[in-house]
Amino acid sequence: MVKKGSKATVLIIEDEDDIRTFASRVLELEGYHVLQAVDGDEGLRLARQGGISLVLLDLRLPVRDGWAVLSQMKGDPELSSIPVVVFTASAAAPQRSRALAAGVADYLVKPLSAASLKKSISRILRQKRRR
Amino acid sequence: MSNKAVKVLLIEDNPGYSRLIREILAEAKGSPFELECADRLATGLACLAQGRIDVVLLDLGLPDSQGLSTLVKVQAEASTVPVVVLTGLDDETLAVDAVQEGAQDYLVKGQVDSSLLRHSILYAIERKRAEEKARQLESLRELEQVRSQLLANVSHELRTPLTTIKGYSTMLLDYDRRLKHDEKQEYLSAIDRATDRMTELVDNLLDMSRLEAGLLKLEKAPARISKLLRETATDAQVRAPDHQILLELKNGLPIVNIDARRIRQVVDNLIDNATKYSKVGSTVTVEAKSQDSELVISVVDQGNGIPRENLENVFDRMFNLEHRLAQDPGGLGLGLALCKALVEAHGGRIWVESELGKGSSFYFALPQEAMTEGEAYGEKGQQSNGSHHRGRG
Repeated sequence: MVKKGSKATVLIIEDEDDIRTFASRVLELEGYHVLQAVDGDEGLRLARQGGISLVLLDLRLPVRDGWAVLSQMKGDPELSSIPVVVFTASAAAPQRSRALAAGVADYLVKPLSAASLKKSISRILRQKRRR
Repeated sequence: MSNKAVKVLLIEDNPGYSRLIREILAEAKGSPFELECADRLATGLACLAQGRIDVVLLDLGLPDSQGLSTLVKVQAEASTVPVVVLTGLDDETLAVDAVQEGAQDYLVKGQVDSSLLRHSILYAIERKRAEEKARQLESLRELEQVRSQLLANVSHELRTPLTTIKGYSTMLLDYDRRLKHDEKQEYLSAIDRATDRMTELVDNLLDMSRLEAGLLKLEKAPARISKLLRETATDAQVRAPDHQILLELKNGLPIVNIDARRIRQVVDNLIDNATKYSKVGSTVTVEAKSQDSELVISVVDQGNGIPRENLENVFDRMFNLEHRLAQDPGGLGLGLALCKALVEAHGGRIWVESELGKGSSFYFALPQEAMTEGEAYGEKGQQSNGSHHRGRG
């Protein structure tokens, strides 16, 4: 659990309303502060405002897709250290390898239970704090 | 091939030369040949239309057709039958062109003997057979690609509503005590909607595959389109309460012989697309009119429109799979492909006009039946004087 007063902020970039609401609500119930974006551009804008501990990123997004967001983040010294967890409906192995090669912290395939989402996010944030 | 007779069709207007070929073929050793002769292209094409011909010997200069177009017409009639072109000494360049156009071989008249002719015919048949096999293999490969792309997309599209169902249900189980009643209700409705979406996906997919396999049987009956459209528009208004759905029915609409359930599905799909891709509060107009022995139905929205370069492709299944038209496609992009298939199964056609920023107009036209309104059943007791009447819609 995250201690009070040191709430981590998670940015969720996801275009499907129901899925974004699900992820947001679970993470809020787990004590995180949550920001939401519905497309890649909005996501990057929120990320650049600072204070983000982790990004939960859908890959198939309108305007600017998840891959573009990922490469922008990894190429930006301000953002490159923020862990990115991919949350995608694509289970294909090549996609997964490509994402891991691009430096994502975890690759979550939809559908996913509330518990698995919670576990992944808390594990990645724990690792980050230890570094 | 072995000992079965090879059926040769000779299309040649010079009777002397035909006789010569017959004699040469009779001399040929090995496989027996059966010769049919035609002295005009038209006669030759008629013979080809009956099938059973293994190879064509073709003179390009005939009374009713000259030059390469003779070959093109023969190939159009029987694309799988190999052609050997017969040419004069002075016409060899034309013969080479013919080979490039798809003839298997050419023979120069006056230089033909029985072993050359036999060789040329048998070789043409085998080569054509190999070409056909390669072509079939290629199209199988393409089909396989389409299939695997479709499968990847189906799996992707099913995962989206599954994520809602899995996510919300586990959340309801894990956090039951911390969630308020209203919030729980909201998640349960989202689960309900997600199952509807999956059902629609599965239905569309099955319909599409039945249509493609020719297994979808239309249950056609004479129907009054005004009644169908009124009901469709009324139901669509319920599904899209924030849009205004306007129905414009012209006087004297004809009776059409249709599968009413399927045509409703088409109109439903077009209206749902229109409301999906246009702003809340805007108008979707559904219109029907009789025009040049067709019944034309249109669904017009005031949405963003479709970019010109995409207009041709919106009815194409693969295109819609790869270029999803909007942020919430709510499906496989199969909707429009299905509309097209259903309209075409009725002998009709479907098309779209669109201007960016102004909106899109989808049209489909159904062939009109030669019937008067009174003959449509299911309409007993209603007036049949041709005037249109507004219903509850």
